[in-house]
Amino acid sequence: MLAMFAFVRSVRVVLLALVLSSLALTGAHAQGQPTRVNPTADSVNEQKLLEALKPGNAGVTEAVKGRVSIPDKGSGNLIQPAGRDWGVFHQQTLPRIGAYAIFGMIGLVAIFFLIRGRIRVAGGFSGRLIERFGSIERFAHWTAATSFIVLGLSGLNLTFGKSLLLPLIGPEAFTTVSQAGKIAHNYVSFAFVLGIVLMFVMWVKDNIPHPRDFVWLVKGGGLVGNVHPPAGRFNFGQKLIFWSVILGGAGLSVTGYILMFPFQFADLGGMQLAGIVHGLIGVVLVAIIIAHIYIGTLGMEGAFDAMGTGNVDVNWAKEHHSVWAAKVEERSSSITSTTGPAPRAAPAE
Amino acid sequence: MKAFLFAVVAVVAIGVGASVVLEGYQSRVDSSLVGGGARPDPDPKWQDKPAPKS
Repeated sequence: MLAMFAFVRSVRVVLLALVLSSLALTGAHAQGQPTRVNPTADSVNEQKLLEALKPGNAGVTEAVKGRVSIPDKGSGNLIQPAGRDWGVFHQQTLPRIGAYAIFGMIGLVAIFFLIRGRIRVAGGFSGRLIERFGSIERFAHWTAATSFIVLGLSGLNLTFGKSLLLPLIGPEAFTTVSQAGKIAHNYVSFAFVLGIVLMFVMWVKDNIPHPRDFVWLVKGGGLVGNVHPPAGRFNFGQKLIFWSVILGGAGLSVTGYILMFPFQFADLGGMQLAGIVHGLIGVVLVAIIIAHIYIGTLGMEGAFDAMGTGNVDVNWAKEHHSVWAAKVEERSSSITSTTGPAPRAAPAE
Repeated sequence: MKAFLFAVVAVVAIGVGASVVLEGYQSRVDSSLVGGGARPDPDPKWQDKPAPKS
């Protein structure tokens, strides 16, 4: 029994020593650490600091920046809190808006095509052609169009490429594509500007709003039903496309060149604003052009010929641009007999 | 479709031309700078003076 008591006493002593030593160690460790550990404290403080340093807050007139003697004055910015807002817009807001605009437009066009089908020439082709656009006009259109496709695809790659293209082709190919796209985006822009300037000069007189545009709008432009409201050389829908391209193109050009020549025309805040405006106009214009491409190709029979060969069938012209066709027919020399497709009956819708 | 082909040629030509002009301009600007790109501060009060200690 005595041996048993001695053993138990020894165990108690050992346990007491262990407890005391662990308490001592815990106390020493606790002295080296904050009493309350908050793993997000640093980020919270940083966010509060950035918010406090935002221009416009009390005592803060501009971003925190130093002086640099290298050409890139922007590198002197130590803290530019507004850049975080721009980053959120560029990485989250713009892709969301772009997805709604572009995929929404594709969806609308698809639904319209399923319901309405291809818009046929009700009277069938007559076989007589009328000149719709001259060679210079078509050159201007295709210059703007081909350059816009390059600009649109390379621009969309900046917004959607990392999430859509990168997983498909891998980082190496995505890097090559993105670098080539960036270079093309910069330099093809000059051709786009030439195209929209030419189109503006040649077509502005035919795109001034006219009272008959209201009638065209009320009747849905003839897209719904088989009634074709009267229209001049350009109907109201085409005028909307024209002014969207001219005004949107001008906005894209101005903001694009602000970004292309950093700090030459705007400071950092101005460039961020230019980037936001450029992105918004870009995705909206891409959506509009998707509708334009649809109605000019798949959506309407005979429409592509206007920009393809420059000539359209007389019956097509009378249905879709009756006022313009009547004026041209007065100048009978503009209408020539051709070896085009033979007249046919109106197809069933 | 001649107008389309001319437009494609024009877009390529304008793009290449713009790249030659602007890349050449950028090269001239870069080569005109001192050393690795540093140049005197345009503000006279900072010229020929050591940078302020922060």
